[in-house]
Amino acid sequence: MNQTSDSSCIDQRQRCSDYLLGEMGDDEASRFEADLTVDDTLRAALLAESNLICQVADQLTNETPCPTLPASPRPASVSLQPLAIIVAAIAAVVMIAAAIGWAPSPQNEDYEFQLATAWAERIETWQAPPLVVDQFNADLPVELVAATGDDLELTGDEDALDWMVLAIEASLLEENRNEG
Amino acid sequence: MSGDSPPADGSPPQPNPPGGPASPKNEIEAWNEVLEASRGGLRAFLSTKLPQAADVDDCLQAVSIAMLRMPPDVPPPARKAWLFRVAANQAALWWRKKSVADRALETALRSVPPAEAGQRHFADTDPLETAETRQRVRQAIERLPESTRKIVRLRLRDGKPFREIAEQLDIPLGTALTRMRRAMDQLRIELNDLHELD
Repeated sequence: MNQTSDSSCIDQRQRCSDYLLGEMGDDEASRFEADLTVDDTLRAALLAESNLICQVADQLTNETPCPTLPASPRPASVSLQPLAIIVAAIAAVVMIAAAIGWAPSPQNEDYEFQLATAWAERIETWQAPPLVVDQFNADLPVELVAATGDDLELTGDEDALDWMVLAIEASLLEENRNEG
Repeated sequence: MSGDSPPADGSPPQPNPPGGPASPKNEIEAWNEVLEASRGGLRAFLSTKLPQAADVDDCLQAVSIAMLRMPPDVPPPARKAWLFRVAANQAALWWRKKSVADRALETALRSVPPAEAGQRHFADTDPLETAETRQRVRQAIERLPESTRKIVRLRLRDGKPFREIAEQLDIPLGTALTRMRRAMDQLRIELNDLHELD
């Protein structure tokens, strides 16, 4: 009995499928529609078959090209991890070394140049008092002894250098005096 | 729509409908053709679910609006089935809108089974149940033999007639028909549709 009812259900469902998919001729379709008005099970079968067709069509339409991922990429992605870590560590070491103490020479050179320039500019604007010749009279070279305040006015870079020389020599003499 | 995405199995894509590529206007016209061709069956289907002819007309109008408002990604072979499903949903919605007293009175007058009036349709399925249904359907399709699955895909997704399917796969027409029927039988059993009719 169950098998008979199942087979009749299957036949009914197949009939509904033929109707829904346009596999029926016009006359057969008209008979089917007439049966719909009087047969409850046929209506239920039509609804069930409609749902099935829509679900299957929806799934087929939204199929992805690769429903299952291949296994081979996994080992490659795992083996790349240590390498990535090593590269990141090297990069971090380089950055830390750069931040800690490795100052490139151009920066030092730049700093010294800026310092000398600043000093030179300051000297240019600074009108040094004339040397107190009496203090160094016995020891200074004749040229320096003969220098006057006017001569010592700075007019350019050469004058700044002269001033530097004078200052250094004065400090040296001072040291000799103290030692003596 | 169905002709836009490339087939997953490498099969030739569905040819463009006559009149040019699938433009929105062409799609609306195609849908209207399906609706007009199905109007008799839809009316016969709804006449047993709704009490009056005017209600059937209202429901048909709602089906038409649903079809135009939401352009579903339904391949052409499944559009008639989609209309019947929407019609069933609209009929259920129509019943839910009526009060309990009116429904009882209509049931008594029209001898409409109460179970059918309150039958749950796809309109009120929650997303979780839809996802589970999709998974079940996908698994059922994957369990089909490859040769059969190919025929189902060509018929339900690409909308090819059985004669063209038979030529493409180089198999007899009867074989294509038989495999399609067996595939649908298997899908019905896999998805337990037969048991829902009991």
